[in-house]
Amino acid sequence: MMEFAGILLAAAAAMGLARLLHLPSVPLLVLAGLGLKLSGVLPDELLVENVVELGLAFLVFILGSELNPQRIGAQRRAALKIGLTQFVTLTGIGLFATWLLGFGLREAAYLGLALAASSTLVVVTLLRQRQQSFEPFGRLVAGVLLLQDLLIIVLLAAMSGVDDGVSGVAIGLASVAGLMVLAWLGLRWVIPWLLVTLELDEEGQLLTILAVLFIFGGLAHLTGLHFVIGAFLGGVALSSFPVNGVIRGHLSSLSDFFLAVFFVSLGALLVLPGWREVVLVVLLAVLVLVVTPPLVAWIANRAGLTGRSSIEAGLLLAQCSEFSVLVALLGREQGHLDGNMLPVIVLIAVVTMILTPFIATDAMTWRLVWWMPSPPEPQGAARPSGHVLLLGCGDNGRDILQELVAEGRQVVVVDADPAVVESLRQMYPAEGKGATPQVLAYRGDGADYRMLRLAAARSAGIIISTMRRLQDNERLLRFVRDVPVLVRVFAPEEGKRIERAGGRAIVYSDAAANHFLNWFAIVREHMEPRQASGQEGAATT
Amino acid sequence: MEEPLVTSFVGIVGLMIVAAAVALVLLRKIAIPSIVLFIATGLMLGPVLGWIPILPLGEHPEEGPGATITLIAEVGIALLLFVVGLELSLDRIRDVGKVAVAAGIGQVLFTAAGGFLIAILLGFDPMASLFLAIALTFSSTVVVVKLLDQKGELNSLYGRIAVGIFLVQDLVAIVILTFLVGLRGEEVAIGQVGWSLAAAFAGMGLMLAGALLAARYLLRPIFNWVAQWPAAMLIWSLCWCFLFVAGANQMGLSEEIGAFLAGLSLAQLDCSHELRRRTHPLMSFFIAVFFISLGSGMEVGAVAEQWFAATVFCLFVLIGNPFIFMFIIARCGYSEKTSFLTSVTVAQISEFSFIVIYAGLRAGLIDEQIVPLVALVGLVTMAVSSYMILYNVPLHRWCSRWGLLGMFGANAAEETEPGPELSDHIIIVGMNPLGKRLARDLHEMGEVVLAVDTDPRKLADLSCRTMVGNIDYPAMTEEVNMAGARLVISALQIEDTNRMLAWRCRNMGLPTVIHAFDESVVDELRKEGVAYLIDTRTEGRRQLEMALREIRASNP
Repeated sequence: MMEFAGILLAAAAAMGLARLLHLPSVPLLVLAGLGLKLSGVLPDELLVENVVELGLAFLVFILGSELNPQRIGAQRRAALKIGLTQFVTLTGIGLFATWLLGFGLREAAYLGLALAASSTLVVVTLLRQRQQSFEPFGRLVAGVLLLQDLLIIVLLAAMSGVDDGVSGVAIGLASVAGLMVLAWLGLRWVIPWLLVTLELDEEGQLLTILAVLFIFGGLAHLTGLHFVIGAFLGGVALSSFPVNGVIRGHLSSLSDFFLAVFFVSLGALLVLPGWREVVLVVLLAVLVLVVTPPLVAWIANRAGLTGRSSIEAGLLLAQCSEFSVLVALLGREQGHLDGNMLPVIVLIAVVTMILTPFIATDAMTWRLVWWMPSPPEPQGAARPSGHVLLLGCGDNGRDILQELVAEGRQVVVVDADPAVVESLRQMYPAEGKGATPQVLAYRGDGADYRMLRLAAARSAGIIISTMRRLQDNERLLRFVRDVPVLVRVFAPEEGKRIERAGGRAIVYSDAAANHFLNWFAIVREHMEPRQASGQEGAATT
Repeated sequence: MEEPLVTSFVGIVGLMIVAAAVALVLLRKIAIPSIVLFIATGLMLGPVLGWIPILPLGEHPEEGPGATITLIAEVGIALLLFVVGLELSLDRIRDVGKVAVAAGIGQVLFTAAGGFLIAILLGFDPMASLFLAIALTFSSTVVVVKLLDQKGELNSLYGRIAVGIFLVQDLVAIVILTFLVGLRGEEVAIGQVGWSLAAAFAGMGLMLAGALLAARYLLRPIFNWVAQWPAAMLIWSLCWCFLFVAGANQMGLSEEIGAFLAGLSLAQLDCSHELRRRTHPLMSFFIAVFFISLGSGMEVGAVAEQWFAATVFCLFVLIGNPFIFMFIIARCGYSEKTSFLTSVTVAQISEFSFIVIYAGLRAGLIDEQIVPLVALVGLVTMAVSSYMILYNVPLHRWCSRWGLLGMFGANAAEETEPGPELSDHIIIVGMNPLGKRLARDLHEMGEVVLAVDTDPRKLADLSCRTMVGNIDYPAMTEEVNMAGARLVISALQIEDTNRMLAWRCRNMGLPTVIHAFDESVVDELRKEGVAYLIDTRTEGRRQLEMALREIRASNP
């Protein structure tokens, strides 16, 4: 019991620190566990091993249950391309680098595999915090992660038979394929019946969910695969709607708990690496950080994403995965990896995960966007006047642009993203040589005075800004005085600041709320009190 | 002995869970209390089929998978009591203090005396009789609290009295256990027993003071800060719980008391309900392992020749215990119904009884045949009393119809308890700018508005009703009385939660309004029959176009 309290105390400290320093909690939990071990508080090896085992099973089970192909939406092809390229490239480079350093081929393969995937835990949390999961690049990244997780599971299944040569690998692959079929059958028929149709009570549902974990784990064990591989596929069997919603309520606290105790215990399993291992950690971590962003950004950009989104995706994916830990633990258990490699792999993951929130920032993204090659500036265009100046042309901006073009207005667009500018130029070409196109697109920063001068902001008829950052808009309002400026903002507080600076704020949340309240005022008359009848018929928009 | 089917830690836990789940699904129609089901599952897996190794009751294996499973079971008990503490607040426990002390101590004395007498009459020697009497005296906090929690009646008057009584019994148990330690070593002086008793009670006072002081000065600011991140909040509260458990352990107190005090000290916080909801699934998992391993440790094979003694003891616990209680509680001025419902809760023996018996066995004070006897009495009384508690109201009706309760002279009038009062309300989930705006405006329109968010700070400046919580939790659906609402609105920008909410509401026939923050989520929300989609993007654009037109009209 004392050890258990110790683990929780370390976890609590790590999580508090993570919040204070705005870091992801996973790496800090590992470090807290390492600290616990070094301070000698946690002598009970057995407890730690058991917690790691059970915790890992829960962790991958929950990750499996959150795989949702629907979430990827229209980004399937791009996700496939990026996921595969990143996976293969990093495995290859990792394998080659470690082989050059004198490791055996099998060890090098494990190390390469450990570098291959990015962390679902870290990336999904970040996307959720920034409310970007539903943006196109968010869906793309989710697709990449899903693909990589699946690849790791399949490859680990293959590796588990590698001692028996080709036939062993084939058996491993066949078993994992069999379990996948089983997971799919469960997903379609058995599990919706168990968890939705039967209407078990809370405890019954929870036990059923956990039974799925252990049944799949047990089957994997019986077919010679590692328990954890089965646990992951058991999670996949629970990933369809509405089952995934039903289980979320039950599992989220179990997942928070096991995630915390797992990573702390994992830290407590580590031994301090020697200098050779430290060099290896630094080398491979740098490799991941340097190779991933440009690689992913390049492919994403070619797949049609905007420059900003491509770079954001690249930066977000530049870390190792919790699955790297799985790779290391399984390799160690099967005797393919020697004990020193576990801390190496875990530390690479820890280092890259800690760095992610510092690398994948808005500021860094924009800085890199400026490095992207600009399309050539438009030639021979007359200096516009009385035009509509549209600053920022993302999704919202594009809606407005279409309206303006339909009305026959002369529009000047300024956007920082070269891909956006390029596509606008293709959509609205100049009619004849030397003529000014109806939409004149510049690549630039809407808060930059040189850019505003070039776009003739002071002589514009109206300026519409969809720039996200409040400071940028305030800068704009200081530059132009007599032109009406409409600024898109989301919250009323932001609106007040814009109005104070002399602009006119369009508060999106207020607009939506007003429309809803009008609807409600009409519908309200027809609503009956709930007790009278179970059904409610006011479903008109 | 044969080698069990599985011996690894994960294997054993897995088999326990799978077997329990299969039994639960197969037998769902006949409404067996889950406790009975778990104990029976354990009994099947362990002693009957021999699939898992037997973990003897009251033993603490030092190594092997048994050590971790025992730990899981202990964690389960601690979490259960933690949840109970969270559910009850200090004031609500204080008002049942008198009756709890009177009934707790009175019952211990009467049952112990009665049990001792019966055992002597049945021909057991005095030492065995003493141990049997002690084993029969204590009722199982874990069983009762689990059932009350399942029925949602922990906070009812009789539930609170029952919890109070168990706390008192727990303290008495500490005294007895200390004396038992004294009995084992012959040369231990009385002074030393007294010393360790004093230490235990001093520890109790210390922890109580610690819990009270922390609740007053320390926990509120800390948890208000950490409540913004649900995962961190959960881990912090668990850490708080197990610090108390470890503290209780160190001071020779029961771990249950530590966990209960930790829960109690957090109960005053705004986020306590959310904490309880979040701890609950965790507790369910651990406590299931506890009950199954309890069942797997019961070796009742050799009990056949003692059937008579077993029957007598079972009847004594099942009928005699409630009888004594009924008498004492009715004397304290509670109504007949409350007295009856409280009394029914004590009709079983405790897992603590097994610990006592094993302590006696190890000290060589009693012989081995007592063990299966107590195990059988435990099995029967736990199973039967589970049914008695689950169906306590019909049982009460039946007893009073037959005029069995008149002799206790209790007050016939029932205490009234405040019922739930939220209905025909509008639930708004997610207090971002949009949600806040809607909450304010609808409140001003005269609607009963309940605003829900996971972050208490976002609810602080609202004048409507508020609740901290994550709508993903099934328990939350009940607590916001969703079935009685007239409209459910989500302003959240979380795809999965919105979709699930729409699905749940549709199943209840409730109209929903969901924030469709992005085009890509519209289709699936429409499929769930959402009454109105809040389309920020389109409405914002419309507003912008209106503004454009206005400007153009003013300066052509």
